[in-house]
Amino acid sequence: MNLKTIRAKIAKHNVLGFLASLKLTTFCLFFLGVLTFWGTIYQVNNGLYLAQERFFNSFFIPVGFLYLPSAKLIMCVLFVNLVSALVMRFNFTPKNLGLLVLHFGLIILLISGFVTGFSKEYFLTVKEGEISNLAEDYYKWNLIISSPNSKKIIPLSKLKNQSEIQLDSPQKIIRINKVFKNAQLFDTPFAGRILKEMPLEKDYEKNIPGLILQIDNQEITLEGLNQQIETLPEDNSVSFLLSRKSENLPFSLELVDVSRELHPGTEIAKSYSSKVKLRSDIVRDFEISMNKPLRTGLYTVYQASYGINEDGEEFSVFAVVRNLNYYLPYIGSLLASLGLWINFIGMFLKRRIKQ
Amino acid sequence: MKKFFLILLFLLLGSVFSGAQAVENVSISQLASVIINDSGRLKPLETYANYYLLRLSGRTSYKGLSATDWLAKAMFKPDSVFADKVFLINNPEILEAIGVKPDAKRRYSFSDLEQGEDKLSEFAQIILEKEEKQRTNFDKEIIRVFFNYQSLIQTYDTFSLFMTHPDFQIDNPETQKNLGLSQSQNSVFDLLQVSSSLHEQMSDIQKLTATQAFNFAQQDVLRLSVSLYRWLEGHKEFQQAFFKSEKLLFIPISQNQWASPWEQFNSTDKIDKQELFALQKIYQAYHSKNQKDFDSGLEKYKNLIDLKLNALKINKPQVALELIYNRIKPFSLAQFLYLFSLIWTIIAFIKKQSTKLPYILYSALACHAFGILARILILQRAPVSNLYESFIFVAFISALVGLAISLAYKKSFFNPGIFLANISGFLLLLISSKFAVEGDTMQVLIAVLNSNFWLSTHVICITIGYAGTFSAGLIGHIYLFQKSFLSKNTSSSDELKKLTIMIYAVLGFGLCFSFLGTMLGGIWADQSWGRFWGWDPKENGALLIVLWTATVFHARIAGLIKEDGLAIGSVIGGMVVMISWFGINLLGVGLHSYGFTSGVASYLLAYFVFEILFLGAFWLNNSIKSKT
Repeated sequence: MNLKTIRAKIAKHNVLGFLASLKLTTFCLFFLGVLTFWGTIYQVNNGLYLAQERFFNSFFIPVGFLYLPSAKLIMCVLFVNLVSALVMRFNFTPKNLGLLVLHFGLIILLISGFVTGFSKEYFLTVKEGEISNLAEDYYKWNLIISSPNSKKIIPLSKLKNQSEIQLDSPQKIIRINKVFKNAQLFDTPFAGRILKEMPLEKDYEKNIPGLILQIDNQEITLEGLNQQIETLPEDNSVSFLLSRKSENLPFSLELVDVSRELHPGTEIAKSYSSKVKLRSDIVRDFEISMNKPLRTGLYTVYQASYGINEDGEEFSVFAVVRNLNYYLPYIGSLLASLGLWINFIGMFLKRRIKQ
Repeated sequence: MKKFFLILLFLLLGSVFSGAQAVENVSISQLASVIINDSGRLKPLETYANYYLLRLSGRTSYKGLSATDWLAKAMFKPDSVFADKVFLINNPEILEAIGVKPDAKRRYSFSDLEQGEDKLSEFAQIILEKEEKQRTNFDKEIIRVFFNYQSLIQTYDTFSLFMTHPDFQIDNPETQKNLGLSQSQNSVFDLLQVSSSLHEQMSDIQKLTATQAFNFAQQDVLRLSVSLYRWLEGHKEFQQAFFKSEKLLFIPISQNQWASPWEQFNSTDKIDKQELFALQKIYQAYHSKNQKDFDSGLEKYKNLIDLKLNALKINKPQVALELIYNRIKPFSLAQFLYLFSLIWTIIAFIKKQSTKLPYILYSALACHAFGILARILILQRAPVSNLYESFIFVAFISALVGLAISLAYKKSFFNPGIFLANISGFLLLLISSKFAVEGDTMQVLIAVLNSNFWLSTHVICITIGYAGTFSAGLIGHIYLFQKSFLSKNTSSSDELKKLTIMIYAVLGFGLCFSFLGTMLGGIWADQSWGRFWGWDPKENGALLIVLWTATVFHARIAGLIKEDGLAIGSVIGGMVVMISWFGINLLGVGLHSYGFTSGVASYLLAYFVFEILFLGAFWLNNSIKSKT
């Protein structure tokens, strides 16, 4: 039995044939388009982050009692469909070179999309003349409980209203009275400082969470803006802190100089740039600017914003991305585009020759 | 045809060499090429004047005066334009609210608005405290009128430092001699030139004992000193009264700083103030109606600015080219020619004559290409960086696609390529002209866009992709129209087959560029923002075009749709392009906020209604046909 016969036999199989079918491709492309449109409209009221989480990063989208497939799931199906089609349907002939290169490129793009799911994004704020390696998460927060013998770090996303945390030393039960995704502290004339829930910001990273804990009969209020450390009323050695999830990078950045060039006579920025010293095993100078990130190991550091604080000190905010495969999308997009063009020009030439 | 070209050439040359007229006996034609810095871009004064008058009055001329002529009057002799009806106010409620009598022509003078100034200012202050989203149309119109009114006052102030005033009049020859002044009529600028001798004489006066009387010269010195102080302090307060500073920046100070004449004058730095002397000479010549002095003063001033630009290593702008661009108005001309060509083609089609020589279309394309090329040279960057430029560029590419298609129909008497080129060229330029009234379309780039490489790759590919997919949609219209509404004779199956091939080719062309552009955008995003793909609305918009086109192709190959389906798919593809191109921008969210606009919603809605009706009519017609 030659390869052609085997492929024909597999293609006749109901399930396998369907998996490699063009009808499935058409449906997936169409549905992905619908989800993309829906996810875009969703951003108007809910912002980018929630739209990403709901439509593109999860596998299902809850709509009432229904669970619709998300873009991620559709892309998984497309991946299977593409691979199956390559195995069962595509003719590996020079005539089909364009289509083959295009679809190989698309497979790499889909793989890079899955791998990107494992990437991490942080931001690093450094004042001019200072050094830092502490990168903070845009969206994730932690409750940190420290005692002389232990340190407990609990992701805020895992804390639910009325849930409890068992503390071993000293033995205490901490009750979570309230978890606010976005909250603000207000000074009141009689009740003192109270934590109020605020409407969610569309730019999700701007949401500052708050927590109200109860230990015995005492309430402890924590909020993310000032990140004040609170302690147990009767035991100062046990402290609580609500802070952004952070990570010590394997390198430090020293901000030597930050500059913002304006278009003359306006407040329109022409460019931002930061002269930095990258300190790891060696120290090297680098200028990070718009469209010119610093790449070191798996990390890439971008100029995200620039500012001047209340003391008149200039600072740069760098976006730090840890990505396992920053080159994969480059390869995938290059191959897919090349394949598309070969196919298009090939078809055009074929038609000319026919004529 | 030859006659037509002669008229066109005459019109073009006439517009280029027409320049400015003589205003009150002084020809200010050379003033048009004076370089200023407006909104961060170096440009000829004429460009600023055109957009300025357009902003105030909705027109680029006033009673036969060019915008530059009128601006010169406003700067040199403010009182001569007080009665000029240049403020366009469409909403009669505004006039009622500020207590100004409505005029049938909807245009009002500075003197008219002056009567309602207090109320206008009071309303504006209240409205400016509101959030932008909460402002009603009335509020927005009040703000627009208020800013325009304040901006004209600032224009009047441009050369007021050279204005002679009775406060600085010195009739006593002795005082003139003591101060080193040669004339009796003086301006604040003249007085400040002799401020050191004025200061010295004031010191002498202070040494006088209480019983000693002042002589006439001393009285003059006292009066002049007080006046000078009052003027300078008064001017500082005056400038602080404006909500939005709109000074005309004439003088380069450094690579990143330009100054207005007053700023240069007030500068405490030891900056060479030769430019101010040259400007004063121009000002005086304008008032004394001395053409020779005006021209020589202007030449000297321009030379000084050239020298300074060289010294500061600032690239000199393409003034001559921009003046030609301003006067030819290549896109308006191209728009007119596309329309003319379209009418010509329709007449030829009705008369069943062949349109073998689409010379008018060639002229339109030439004007269009000149406009784009001129903008590239003037701005020194790729041709697309904002929504206005994208319309201009998509119109051009669509017209070129039409022209390419027309080559395949050389022998047919009906040439859809010519139709496509004319319709897309005309319609898209018509929409772009609506943006042109919002201000100078040649804007400086914000930091994230300031990359010639990505602008000339990603943005160009994306816009060519828009043009390709949009053009395929237009051919889809022709296909459906021909199939449904024309007699069997013209809608032969051969014609339809040919159109199907065209849809394939153009849609494929659109897909190739849209996909490449989207991928390049991903790489740019990775370079700038740290991620290849972030599901940002504009990225999603580009992806939508790719996904829709790919869906149509796969559906066709899978046999889910046939030729009609392909044509319908391409028409819907045109709608997807509109969603991606500026529909997404209307959402007002996302990282690509630099491309946002608010005035195109009604166009988009009209387009969608038309398309739905068109597809509905096709479906209805087909159903009736299949029943009978």
